[in-house]
Amino acid sequence: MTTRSLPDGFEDLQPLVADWALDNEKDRYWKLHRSNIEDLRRFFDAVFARIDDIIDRLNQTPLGSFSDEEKTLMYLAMTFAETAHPIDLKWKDVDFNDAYTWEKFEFRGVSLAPTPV
Amino acid sequence: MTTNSITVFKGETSHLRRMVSVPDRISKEGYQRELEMIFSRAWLPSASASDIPDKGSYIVVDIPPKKTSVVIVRGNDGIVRAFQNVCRHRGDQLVHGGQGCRKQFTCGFHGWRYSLEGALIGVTDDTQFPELDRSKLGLIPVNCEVWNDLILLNFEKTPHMPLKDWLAGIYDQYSGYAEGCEKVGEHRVVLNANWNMAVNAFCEGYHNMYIHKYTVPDYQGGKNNPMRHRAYIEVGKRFGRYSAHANMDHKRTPAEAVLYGRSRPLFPSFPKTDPKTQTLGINPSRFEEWAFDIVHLFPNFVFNPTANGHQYMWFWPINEDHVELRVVNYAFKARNAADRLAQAYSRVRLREVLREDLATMEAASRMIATGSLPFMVFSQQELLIQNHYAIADEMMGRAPEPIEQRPLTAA
Repeated sequence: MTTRSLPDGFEDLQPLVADWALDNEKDRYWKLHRSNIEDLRRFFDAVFARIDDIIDRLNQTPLGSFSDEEKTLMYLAMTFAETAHPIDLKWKDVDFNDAYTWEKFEFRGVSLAPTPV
Repeated sequence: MTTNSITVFKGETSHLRRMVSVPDRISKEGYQRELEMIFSRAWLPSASASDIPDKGSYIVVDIPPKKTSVVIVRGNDGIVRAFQNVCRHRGDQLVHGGQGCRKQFTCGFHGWRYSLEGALIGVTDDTQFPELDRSKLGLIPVNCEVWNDLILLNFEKTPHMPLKDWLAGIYDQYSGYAEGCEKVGEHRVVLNANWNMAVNAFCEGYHNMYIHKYTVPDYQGGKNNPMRHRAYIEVGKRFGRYSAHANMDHKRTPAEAVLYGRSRPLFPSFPKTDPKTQTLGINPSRFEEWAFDIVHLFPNFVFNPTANGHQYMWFWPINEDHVELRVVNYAFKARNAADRLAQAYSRVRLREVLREDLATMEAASRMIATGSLPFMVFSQQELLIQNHYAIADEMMGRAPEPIEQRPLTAA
């Protein structure tokens, strides 16, 4: 498998790419539910510390014109946006008590296709 | 009525009942009656017009209570039409799922071809069909109307009521609400629940303080409205709607703060809106601290506009104790990466709120299905549910609620 690299200046996030730079909502949801809260917190902390830099960098390129490196960075940030809530809301686990069985939730259309970036 | 509340009520409520019988509504027979008297006669929101923007764009929609598949297509004349998704030859499904854009429809079974307007335009090996009258073999139409961004279907031969009358009270109030938005999420869940119970759960805000404590602990109400009463509740002939009160002291969580700070606020942040820029039906009472509206279009559809986006929720009955939820989220069109990230954050917060709702719904439905609950009791904050059952009873020609509306303190 070829290594997906990030734009210059984001080398510190490279170790996260293989596991966390995911291109669609379903994969990001499954990644969340198959992680433990400690792994999730480490990912959150690493990206949260750079999120303003990431947005500054990616906002320079119009959507639809991203290079492969920019896409990878964007997908990493998308996974952050879609897995941040357990940390944001101070949950003790990646899911909450009495949540509807996560595996039964289905993704369709735009939630299944790669997010347009 | 004395309500000790900020809620402004609108609409005729004298016929509504705060106690509603349950067992016969969830029975097999009750469901059959709903199919005949409600789902076979109602105008049913079924798709979004933005799904078929161009000439030749089509979408295939399953309608579970009618056990049918419908193809909705924008013709070369720009008109949106709906057809039973069946070839007139031997009944094969004409279009197999999904959506797209075509010049014509060709049946996979024997190659019969139909125009976008439904005419039979090609029969293969047609010398073997002596005296075939093609003009009588067009696709079978389903009554179809476009209302703003929604496409509504009606399965009667001739609708007993035009859409304009069906939507009396709101028909003219929502023009342009979907402009500038794009689809950002689409989810589906099949629940072990009766469809009435499912749609009811999204027609009141009374529950939000209790079951949404994990996902959105502080989004509604606030110091001036500790019980989180609705700002506005309106019941109409075949709709009900409410406006929710945004908590002005909502504390944005860390990711929420940075992602919305770089873009625009979306759920569960509720920015101040300018009523002058909003269409009449959205935040109809022009409440200052507005969060979002819930608009229930009877029988089984909920429209949920908020600042910078909206959500559609379908509650399609499969049988008396299974319901298919389809939830589609829209947000303002992304201009850049920051907007895309804000959209993503919001759709997930909404998704998790929904997962909180679903767990309760299945548990309640399991108990209700035992038949042990003789009736349900509704508060003034649950007026939309009272209205739901009143409309259902009217359509089914059912006598007004048989449960004696005695004071709740009676023995």
